[in-house]
Amino acid sequence: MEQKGSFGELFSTFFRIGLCTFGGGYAMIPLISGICVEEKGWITSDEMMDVTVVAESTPGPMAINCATYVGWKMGGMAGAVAGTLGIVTPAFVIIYLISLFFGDILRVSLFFNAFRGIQAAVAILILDAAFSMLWRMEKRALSIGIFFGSALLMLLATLRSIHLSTITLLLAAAAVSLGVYGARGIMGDEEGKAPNPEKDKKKSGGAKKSGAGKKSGEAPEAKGGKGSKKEAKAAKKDAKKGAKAAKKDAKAAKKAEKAAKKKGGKGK
Amino acid sequence: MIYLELLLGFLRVGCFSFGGAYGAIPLIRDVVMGYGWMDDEALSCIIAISESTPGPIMVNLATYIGSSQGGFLGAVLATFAVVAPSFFVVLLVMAALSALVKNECFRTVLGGLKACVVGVILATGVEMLTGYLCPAGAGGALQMQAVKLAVILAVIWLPLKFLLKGRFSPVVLIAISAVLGVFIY
Repeated sequence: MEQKGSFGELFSTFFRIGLCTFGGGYAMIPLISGICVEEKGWITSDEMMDVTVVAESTPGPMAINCATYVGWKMGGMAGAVAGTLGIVTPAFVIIYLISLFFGDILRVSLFFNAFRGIQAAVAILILDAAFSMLWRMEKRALSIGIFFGSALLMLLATLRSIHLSTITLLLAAAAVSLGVYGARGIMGDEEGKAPNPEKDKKKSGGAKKSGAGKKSGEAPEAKGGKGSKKEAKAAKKDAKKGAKAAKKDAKAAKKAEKAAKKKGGKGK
Repeated sequence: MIYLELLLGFLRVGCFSFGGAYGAIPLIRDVVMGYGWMDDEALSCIIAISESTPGPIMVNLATYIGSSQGGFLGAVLATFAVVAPSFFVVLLVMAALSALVKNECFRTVLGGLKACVVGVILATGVEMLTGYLCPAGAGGALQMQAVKLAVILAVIWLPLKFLLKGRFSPVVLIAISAVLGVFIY
């Protein structure tokens, strides 16, 4: 088990990962986890979970975010660069070579028809991705509202030939989320339950204990995941006075939530 | 100047691509159509290639589009631009703000962004399907061959998806569709 990785080692490991990452995001987690946690022992599976959370919360492809994260952990800035370069290079080389010849291939009418068919496949894949993500999305009023709003606005804009950029929609969604968050803060807890500090801390304490019993604890937590998240939310509000304990509880609840999400993701 | 356009365009993609690979597709589509580099048909081809080759789809798309619009330098610039923002954001989050990721406000906004992404991806899928079924080349009319192919594809895809649950690679669907395309057209 090595603690620090050299530039070359990080680069070549992630180069190997880069060669195998077909498809998008979540499919790569088991692969990256397999190599970084089990094979190389660079990070623990808890850290892998942190990596996943960070990679999901930052823009950019998951695989690259993971490479940057692990690279940084193992070798600082140089490590981050090594990992990122490593995972990007195989894709770059392959695609660049393909791009040189592709235009010529398209001119053969056989291939042209084939690609006409492929256009259908791509549309279906995109729709499929949308439904999978929808399935895995947390079903809160805000999320569902934004989902419908974005989809409808975008379709309407296209019908009227108005150019509505995705970025504009994203910014609007962020603004709406902030607004709702602020409104919730003013009005108290989401469900209209008055936050009960002692009760909630006890419940969240329970969440922490079952979170500690990793695999066996995660299964029941998967169902209680949503509940303990709300409690963790309320607990966090009181955390202005008792920051540390509340943070630990929130962390356990989020871990359980991530485990539930991860299970949902694997089942895709 | 094309290099600047590639750089800025993919920088935008790199900064705003929440929601993984498919989240970037609408953004890339915006950029590509905004600059008039290619239409949905060509873009679909490139997406298909990007899905069939190793590497994150976003990176593949950036490399290809960069290469086709601006040669080797274009490819390098586009790829760099798409990777750089997330590189720095990840480091930032790790180095200074790891508490940020657990912050409630941040998570709410993130949840909202992701919900938006799902909506946008859905809309994109609908638009691309419609564009396929009623191609601009045929004057926007419904093309029966296209409908036939799409229906056959969907009929094959749906049961397989439920049976194989996740171990079903997009490459297979793309291959099937290519064969169907040759036969039907």
